[in-house]
Amino acid sequence: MFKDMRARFCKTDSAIYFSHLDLNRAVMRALRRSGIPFWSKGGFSPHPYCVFAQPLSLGYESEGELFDFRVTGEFDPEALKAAFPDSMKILEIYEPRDHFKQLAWADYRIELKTAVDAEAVQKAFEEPLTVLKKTKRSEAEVDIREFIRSLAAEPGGEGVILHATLAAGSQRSLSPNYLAEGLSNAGIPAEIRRVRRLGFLREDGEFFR
Amino acid sequence: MTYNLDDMRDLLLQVQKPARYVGGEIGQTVKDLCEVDVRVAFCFPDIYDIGMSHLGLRLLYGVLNEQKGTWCERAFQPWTDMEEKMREEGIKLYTMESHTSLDEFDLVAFTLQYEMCYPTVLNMLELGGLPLYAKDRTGLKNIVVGGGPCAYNPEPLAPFFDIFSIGEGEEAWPELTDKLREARVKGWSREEFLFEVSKMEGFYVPSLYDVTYKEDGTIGSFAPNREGVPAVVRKRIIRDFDQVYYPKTQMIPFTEAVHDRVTIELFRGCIRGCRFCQAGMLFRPIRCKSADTLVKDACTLLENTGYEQLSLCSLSSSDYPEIEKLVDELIRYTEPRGINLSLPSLRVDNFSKELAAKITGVKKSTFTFAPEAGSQRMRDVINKNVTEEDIERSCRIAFENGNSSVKLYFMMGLPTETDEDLDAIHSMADKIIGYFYDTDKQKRNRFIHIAISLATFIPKPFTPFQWEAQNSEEEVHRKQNYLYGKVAKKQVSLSHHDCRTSMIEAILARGDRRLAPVLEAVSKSGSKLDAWTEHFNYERWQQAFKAAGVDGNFYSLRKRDYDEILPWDFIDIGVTKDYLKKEALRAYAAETTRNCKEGCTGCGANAMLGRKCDV
Repeated sequence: MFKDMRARFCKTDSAIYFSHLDLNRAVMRALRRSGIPFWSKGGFSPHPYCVFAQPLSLGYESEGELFDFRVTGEFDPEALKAAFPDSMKILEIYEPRDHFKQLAWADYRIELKTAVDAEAVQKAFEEPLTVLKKTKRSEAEVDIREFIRSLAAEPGGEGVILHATLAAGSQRSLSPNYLAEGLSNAGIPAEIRRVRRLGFLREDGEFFR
Repeated sequence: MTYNLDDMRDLLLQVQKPARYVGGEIGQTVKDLCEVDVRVAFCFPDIYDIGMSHLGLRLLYGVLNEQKGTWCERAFQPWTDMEEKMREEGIKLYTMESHTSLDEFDLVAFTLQYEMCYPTVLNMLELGGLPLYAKDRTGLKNIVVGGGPCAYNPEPLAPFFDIFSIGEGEEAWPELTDKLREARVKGWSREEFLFEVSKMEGFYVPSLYDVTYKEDGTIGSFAPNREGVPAVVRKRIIRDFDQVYYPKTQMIPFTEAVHDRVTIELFRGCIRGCRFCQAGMLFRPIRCKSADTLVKDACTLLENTGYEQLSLCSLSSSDYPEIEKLVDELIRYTEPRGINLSLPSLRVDNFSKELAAKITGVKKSTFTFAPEAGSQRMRDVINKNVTEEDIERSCRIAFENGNSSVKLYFMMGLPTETDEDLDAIHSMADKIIGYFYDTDKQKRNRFIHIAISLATFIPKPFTPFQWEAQNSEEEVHRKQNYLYGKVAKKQVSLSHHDCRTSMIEAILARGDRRLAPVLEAVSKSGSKLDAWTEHFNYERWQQAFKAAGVDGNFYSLRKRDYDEILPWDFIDIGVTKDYLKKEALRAYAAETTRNCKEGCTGCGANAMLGRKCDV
């Protein structure tokens, strides 16, 4: 009846100011506008089926956002690409291999404003870095290192640039904001200046596709 | 000053809904500055969410950007959190497209939709880095132009504006930008340019007119102060409305606008002639688009935008001559695509069962009627030609279709109103509840809810009631309390509009140039976004009137003589003053006037068309 498709797109320039709700609406309208034979769930006001991998915080850039949609027949990927603004450029359209449930990690490039050098920042991650982590239901003291797969600090920007792979699954995830909080709690005052999500990984570290 | 979005990042991430301030929407126009010689900033004196819903903005934005060499951009009043940040950082009000401050533009255009936006207009000028008063602006740039319904009495804003565009803008605006080009070629000064503009049809240059006042405060004379400037300014209309420019696409806001949908405009003008209604007189003569044109427009727009909602726009949709055909053809397109069709502004007297079925087939919603007055006598006075039978019939149709929620709009403080007329508001609600319980149980819903909304009548220029006095605040409060005291049934709820806003609106609507210092004072004291209840501050207005030494009641509570010179008399809207006076006299006699479909009533507007109206 339909075929699952996945689109990878970026979120840059003015698009970083769109909320997840805005993004959802924009993608649905783009699907309609593109004229491709999208699949709808039906119901009273049928709208194009589309599911996002992970919401992105307002203000973050990305070059690895994903949404799934379904088509009921042959379609021209170029038509879909043409329906998106430059700030939400579609980079790739493909048939998914992995299910969103398998998504576990996300790669980030994080610019930190801090007076401390990269080496000291890197070293700070050898000791527990506790933050008060809030979830929908509760808040708890956690060591953020439990949510970090890898992290490398190098000098750059207004202080330090972190290349970090952080938990981004449906069960456990960590917002890059907690890195600054954790460092500050450990006596290294740091402020997040800019975050760019680069892509997603599976639990086994394979590139999510 | 042109701002870089990236430099404003920190600021933008500290405010609510930053998507309002960045532009970049699908459908916006960006031009290469090397190919642009006239830059227009189209300013909407309210926030983005409201402005982006406005059809007039889309039309003029489209028409100007179609013109070679013209680049029209958009600017909105920021929400207060953003404005505070901008003032802290010294950022001027900038446009959505190129993020350029208003003071860089050749033409700074304001659409004046509602009197309460006047302080916002002044705030935007100031935030945009422009001198407030026209006399302080120099050269052939920063020309501030006003248009829209409030431009039909532009006088309270006169000293702040260089030009007002009176009437429909699709043809007039490109002529104005061309005039600016001509001025540059011929080396005219700003004064010469404005003089030339004053001679163009539909343009009013307030600095070229002088007003004198009598001892009693009324106008003694109103005349041009330079030879060659016309004494009367005639509004512009589009004669061939079916073929007028209509955009092929629409800007699609990323953050949700209030009306976030495709809109098609069925016709301009109104056949009804309700005596309180300004739009009904201003937008005459009646001109329709053909159903074929409308269907074509709708499909093009839906395809190009991906919108899931289509709305029909006019003063009274069910009066559109080809309404059945139009709705049929639109539904044929929208239904299979899951697009929602909404049909606002229906009349209770010609609302057919078939039409109701068609619409409810798409989506069930609240049934909203505007009887405006409770008693038949009162409705005859205001010429709202709706009878009890009409209301009964429409409600029964609605209930049989499963509607269970009725919203009724009424006005209080209408000329000749008595407490008996107010009593009739309640008895109407009671009768409607009766119709509901009469309806076959199999068909109707289980519950009924009637929401009554009460507004305060505001006499407006260019209506038969333009000479009337508004009820005083005390009287309005008394009437409100009287009505609230009578709500007994649990199915009925009552709500009312803050009458203090209506008091100020009434003063501004029929004001003259002497109100300008009040506006300046109120804006300086921080007023803006006055249409938002949380921002309207009555005390500030009272202080501004006091500081400027102006008695607001002179404008709102005073009944005028028919021979008084009114501040807007120099504008010719097509409908004659004689006709308005005749209608006023009929109102006192509670005599109704037929609608234009039943026969021409001789208002005079069709003289602008040179043919019969499209009814």
